[in-house]
Amino acid sequence: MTVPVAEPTAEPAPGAPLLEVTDLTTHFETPGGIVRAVDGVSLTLERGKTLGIVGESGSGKTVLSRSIMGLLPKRGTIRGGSVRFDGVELMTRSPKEMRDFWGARMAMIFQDPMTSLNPVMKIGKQITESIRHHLDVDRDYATELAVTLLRSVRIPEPERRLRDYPHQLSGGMRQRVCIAVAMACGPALLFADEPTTALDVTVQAQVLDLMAAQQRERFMAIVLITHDLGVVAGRADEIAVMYAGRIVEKAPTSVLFTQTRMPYTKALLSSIPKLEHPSHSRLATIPGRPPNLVAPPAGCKFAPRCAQAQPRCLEEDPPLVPGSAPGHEYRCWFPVGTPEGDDALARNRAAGKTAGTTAGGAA
Amino acid sequence: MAALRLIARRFLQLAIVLLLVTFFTFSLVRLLPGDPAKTIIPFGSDQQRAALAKDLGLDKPFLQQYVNYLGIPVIKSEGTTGLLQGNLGRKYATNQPVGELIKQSLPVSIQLVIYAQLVALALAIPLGVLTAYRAGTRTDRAVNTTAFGFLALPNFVLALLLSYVIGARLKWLPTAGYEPGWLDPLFDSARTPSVEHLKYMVLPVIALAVGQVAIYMRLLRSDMIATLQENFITMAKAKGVPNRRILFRHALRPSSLTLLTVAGLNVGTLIGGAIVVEVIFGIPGMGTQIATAIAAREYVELQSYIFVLAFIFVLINFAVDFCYILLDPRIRRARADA
Amino acid sequence: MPEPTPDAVPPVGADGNRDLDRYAEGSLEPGLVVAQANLYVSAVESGGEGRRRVGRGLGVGAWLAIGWLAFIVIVAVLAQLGVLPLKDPNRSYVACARRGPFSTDGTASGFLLGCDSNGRDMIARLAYGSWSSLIVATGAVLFGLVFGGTFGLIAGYFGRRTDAVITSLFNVFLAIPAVVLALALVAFLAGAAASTGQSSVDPKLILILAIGIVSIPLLGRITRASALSWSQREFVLAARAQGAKPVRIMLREVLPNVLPAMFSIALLGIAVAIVAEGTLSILGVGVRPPTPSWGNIIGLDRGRLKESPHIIFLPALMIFFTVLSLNFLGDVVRARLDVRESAV
Repeated sequence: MTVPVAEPTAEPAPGAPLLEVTDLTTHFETPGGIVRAVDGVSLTLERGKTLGIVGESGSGKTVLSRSIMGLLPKRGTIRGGSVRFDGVELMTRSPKEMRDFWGARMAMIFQDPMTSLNPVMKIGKQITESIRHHLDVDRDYATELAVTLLRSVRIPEPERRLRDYPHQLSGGMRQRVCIAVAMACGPALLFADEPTTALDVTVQAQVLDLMAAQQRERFMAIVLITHDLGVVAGRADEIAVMYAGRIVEKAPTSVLFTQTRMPYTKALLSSIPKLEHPSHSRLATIPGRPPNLVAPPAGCKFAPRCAQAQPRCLEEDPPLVPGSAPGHEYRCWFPVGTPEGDDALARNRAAGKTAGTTAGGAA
Repeated sequence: MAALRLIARRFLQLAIVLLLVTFFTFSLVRLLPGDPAKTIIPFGSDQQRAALAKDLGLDKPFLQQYVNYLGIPVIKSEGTTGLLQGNLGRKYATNQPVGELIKQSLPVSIQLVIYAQLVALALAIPLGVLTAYRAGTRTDRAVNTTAFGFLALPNFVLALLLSYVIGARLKWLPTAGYEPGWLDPLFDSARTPSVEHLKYMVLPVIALAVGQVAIYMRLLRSDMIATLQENFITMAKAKGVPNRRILFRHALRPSSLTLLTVAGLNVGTLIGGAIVVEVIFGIPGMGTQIATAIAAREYVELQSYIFVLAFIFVLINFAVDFCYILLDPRIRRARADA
Repeated sequence: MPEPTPDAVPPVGADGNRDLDRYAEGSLEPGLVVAQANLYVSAVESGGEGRRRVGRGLGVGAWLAIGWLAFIVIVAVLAQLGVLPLKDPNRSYVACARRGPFSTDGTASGFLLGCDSNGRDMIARLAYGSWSSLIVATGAVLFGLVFGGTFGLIAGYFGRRTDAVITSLFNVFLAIPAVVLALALVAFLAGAAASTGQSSVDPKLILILAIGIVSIPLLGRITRASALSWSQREFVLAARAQGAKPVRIMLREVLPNVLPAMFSIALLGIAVAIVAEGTLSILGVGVRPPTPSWGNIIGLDRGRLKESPHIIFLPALMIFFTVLSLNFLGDVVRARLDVRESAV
């Protein structure tokens, strides 16, 4: 049985990428001031490809995904820039118009499968709900489709599971159900927000493999959001590293790992445990905390925590500059793996302090 | 099985509570100081008093009196009847069995309470959902402030206000009296159309319901606000489900547990409120009977009224407790674990 | 069920089963009864409104409420002391009977708020009535606090079986609708006082006792919940470990922390008790005439509603403003407590 795909609501522009985000900003009005959660992010994603977005919690990656989808509450949120999906501008659309996209053409999987399913609604209902809403099918057909979906996410005895409530399933099973819900109308774009963080390690790989299988089958694009570079390493075509609401480095996956330029990316990379490390070796950690997004530092946002920070880093905000490989971009005055960067690091080592710590100490 | 054991435990608890409640109502009359017969019929003849003393079995030991009051077969005294036999005592002024009086007045009160509860929920649920959805807006604040004001308006004040403005001034609706309704044994649809019955019920029901609307609405609002922050709501939104459906199908049910509990508990408040409202609007329900019994010092009658109302209230709470299972499937498991 | 102390509110569980936690907190205990009486619940639930006000002073509303309550209390006390230039609340001015406010004919010119059906001055009746209403309500809540508080403290401190027994007792009393229970107690207590010839007993005492008994389980449950959470704190455990006597720990360590919660609930309790006195008065068993109370002024002249509405609605307004003020202050107090404790 083939899964029907919701009709596109507008003619796709031929040749345009599936998703094209230009200079997206998302600010929140809070009593403490304006929080710049997403601050000028641009990215593109082709059909069938996977983009990994990596960053610590609070880096704005979750807000970015919800902002692209238009899921954030209207009140207190200020959005700017452009989001084009399949050639259609989404920023100007009302939530009511967006409903034709949500679930049908773009779907989302959330971090915690325990809380992202309605505890008092049967699983079957939660899957068929979106099918019945987006596709013009009758109840029996929708149920049949739900069974097919559950089978395709490898849930045993799908007919019986339809009548179960979420609490009757394990965490891994629930996340599979979430994937089934997301897949229900055959979306062209899937946002997966930390889809494996709440799961057991053994289940994590299964869920990621399942997503990859679904992606191949449906030629679907995925935005995979995670704090764990290890999760996206083997699965993303391209990786964007986010810090303080901005992309600080973006590159095709292999380039990012081999030609790392941004010290923050390097720090993230060295915090992944590797097989060649002796057991019980100490993992590198990044000192300090992400900056306050209400009043971010003037220069490079990462400078206060950066091992090679120089006085210039504190004053001037580095722009996103292209690297040597195609599609590689980064923000840094003293990039890793360049003479300037090595020099800066050596100077800081010799001085026993960085420009960031000095400034921080003085403040 | 754990679930069965739990149900058995619940029934045991019910029995214990009912036993304690009956003991309380039993004690009310027995603990009157001096000679209860004299207190109950201060101006009666010796003959009447002797009849009362016999009814109450005052010559028996205390515990035996309680057994007789309950009417437990085998161990009760020969020839007596108690609650289990449906004996609720007599009204001594007229010698009517109290059971008969209750048969006529209780349906009237139950009707009133049901109307009030339904009206209160029918108004409070949409208002609670609306204010939660629009939390922090002007609509929300206006509704909440109004509700807060109504919370401070005792139902007897509201009853008098409605009676004066709508009844006496505008003359839109009757302010006193009653026509039998569907639950009433005297109801005869051929003789009195239901419209007449409803006309008499509008003001009392509003007087009873408004305070509850405020309570229910505020409860539902705060629970809904919490539910609307849940991930599964964002998930539902991301599925493209319309807002109305998210609010009523996804958010309402998980938010209504507290509301259900309080609505069940509030039957107690409604019963209390109904007593006053009936007296004010001259409705011949339990409230009017109770007020008359107090004025006439018919302690045995009063005792039975209290027992009946407490009994009903206990049963309702018992039923509400079981309703949880229908509302939240997670509780089945929680209860089995308990 | 949510309780006034933040500790008693179950945290949002890791699995987000908020309702379940909340449910499990109250209702898995014996006796079918999950929560306190409705007014307490609704008041407790409304904490969200008060929260925003914190940190900006008390706000106009709170000062108005305090002002009104102060006014009522002062008038009640001064009237009772005979300091105020009021007419005798029990003297009938026949010409004024049933006349409304600002009535100018005859001798009625001196009656700013008119007279009741017996020609008694409304101002004097309302002022003296304040005393009866407030003394009955406050007395009842104090009674409830002393007994309910003691039982609640013991239940919360010792926990386990003691807690189970006391809680079940509370629940039995909660199984009888509050108004019905109060009615029963007043009727039978009054009957008892009459039959033993102790008519010298102040009938107000009977009311205080009856409403007080009804409020024991309500106030007791809240004290218990608060005491339960405080009794788990380190400093209490430390005191226990040092071998301090339970009574001493309860009074020195637990009680001072439970008092704020009891206080905020007491404000609401007084509001409920004022309404209860009014209800009982309508049913003819409130404060006994001729002594006026807000409730019995209404109760006595209920039949005059149509021709002299002022007799009914003036005391009704007193009740309304007082209950409104108490509810409002209760909310403010609770909101402040919540924030302070969660900041610790």
